[in-house]
Amino acid sequence: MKKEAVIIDYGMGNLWSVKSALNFIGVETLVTSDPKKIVSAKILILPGVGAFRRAMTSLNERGISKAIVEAVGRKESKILGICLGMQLLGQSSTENGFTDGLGLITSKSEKFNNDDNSDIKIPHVGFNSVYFPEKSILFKQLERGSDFYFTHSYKMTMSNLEGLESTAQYAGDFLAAYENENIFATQFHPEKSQSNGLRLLNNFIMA
Amino acid sequence: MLKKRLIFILLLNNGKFVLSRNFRLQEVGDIKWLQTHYNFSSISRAIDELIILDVSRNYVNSELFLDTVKEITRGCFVPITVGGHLQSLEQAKKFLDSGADKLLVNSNIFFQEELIFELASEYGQQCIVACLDFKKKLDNIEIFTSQGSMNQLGNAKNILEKTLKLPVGELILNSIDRDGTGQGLDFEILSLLPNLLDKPIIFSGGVGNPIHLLEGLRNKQIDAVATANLFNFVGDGLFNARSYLTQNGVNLATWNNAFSEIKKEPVI
Repeated sequence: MKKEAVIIDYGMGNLWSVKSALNFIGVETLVTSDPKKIVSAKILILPGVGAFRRAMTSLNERGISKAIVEAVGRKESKILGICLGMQLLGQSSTENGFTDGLGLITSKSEKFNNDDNSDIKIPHVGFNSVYFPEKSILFKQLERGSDFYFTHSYKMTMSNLEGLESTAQYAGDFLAAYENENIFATQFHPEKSQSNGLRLLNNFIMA
Repeated sequence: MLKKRLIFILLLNNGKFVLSRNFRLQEVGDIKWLQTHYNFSSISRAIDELIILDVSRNYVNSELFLDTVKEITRGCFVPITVGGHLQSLEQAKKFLDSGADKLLVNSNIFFQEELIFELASEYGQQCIVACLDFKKKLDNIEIFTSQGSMNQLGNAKNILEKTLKLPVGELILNSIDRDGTGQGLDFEILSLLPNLLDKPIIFSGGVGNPIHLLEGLRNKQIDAVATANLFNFVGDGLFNARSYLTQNGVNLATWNNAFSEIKKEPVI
């Protein structure tokens, strides 16, 4: 039987490319905003392009926030948050004013800082090397420092999190990926990272 | 460390791929032609990003354009910027639903600034790529819109500064004089950019061979070089260009996994 991933549709984000990447590696996909389907899903993907505050409002209004937290709480299902989707899994963000997140990762999102006239361009956009702990499941069969595609102006901070932290460097280290039991997240876009990203998506599905 | 980028541009005119020279278009074929002769999914393995533009002059069949975008993006796992005739939020959503990750704005910079703000608040700044087409007139650099037909009066330096202050994530600078000529990039406009450049710059217009790409990517102000020169990079052209660039010290991303291997793996 083929595995099915449920891609959460909350009116934001590029669902098409996540869907085609999963289909490419032989995974069926269901794109839905129905909380009932999300609660009962085994494999969840939370994609996201856009602003944190708007996204959180949309998740709350549609009853999706509760559905995600409930599904993940049961531990039989797993979730992968991608880009904004990763930040939404966190505690909060300061984008367009302070906003609470889903609280599944105990880290906050804040803007890259170039106020000190450093030559850092914002957004952080392009392929960058990711360094992961050896025990990582997401990065199995990938080389240390493998390249993944990022595009974001806000980043998640590292703060001795419970799970495994992978990092990338841009104006210092930031959280590039996270994994803890059934919660997985990447700040980069695996669906836009050529074969490296497809490998990572496959690792998540098999985890 | 953040890598430099090699970007390919596909131009579509009423559903047909075209080559552009100084913004004059020459039709080369439809999507079937592209897939048959170029196996585009495979070519896309050698690039960091793809830009697909609707450069239709008059009649715009956006459904035909977006169907083609979907067809192209199905097998491409790189970021995709889509643009051309973008005039509303609804249209932007359609672009994104067809495989776009980023939206290109051009004439909007001058006539629809409000739309750029709306797009940014809906999708974030990183989703918006501004593109300015420039031409040299005597010793002056001038900015043109409407596919190179309309001269935007005003000092180019001021226009660049104003554009970089808009809520956009990146800026493409494209030389109309060099477009499709293969004579190499025209770097002069770079001197008009602000000293403290806080947004990535994509440079295009005139790339005819890997040396031109190297010249562009070695430039400190340039983050990415784009080319729409289909014929110069046919077959292994882009793969070879990429390894030439890496051998010459350009810091480009590497992808070590074989696509075929991942695709074949049964996920059961």
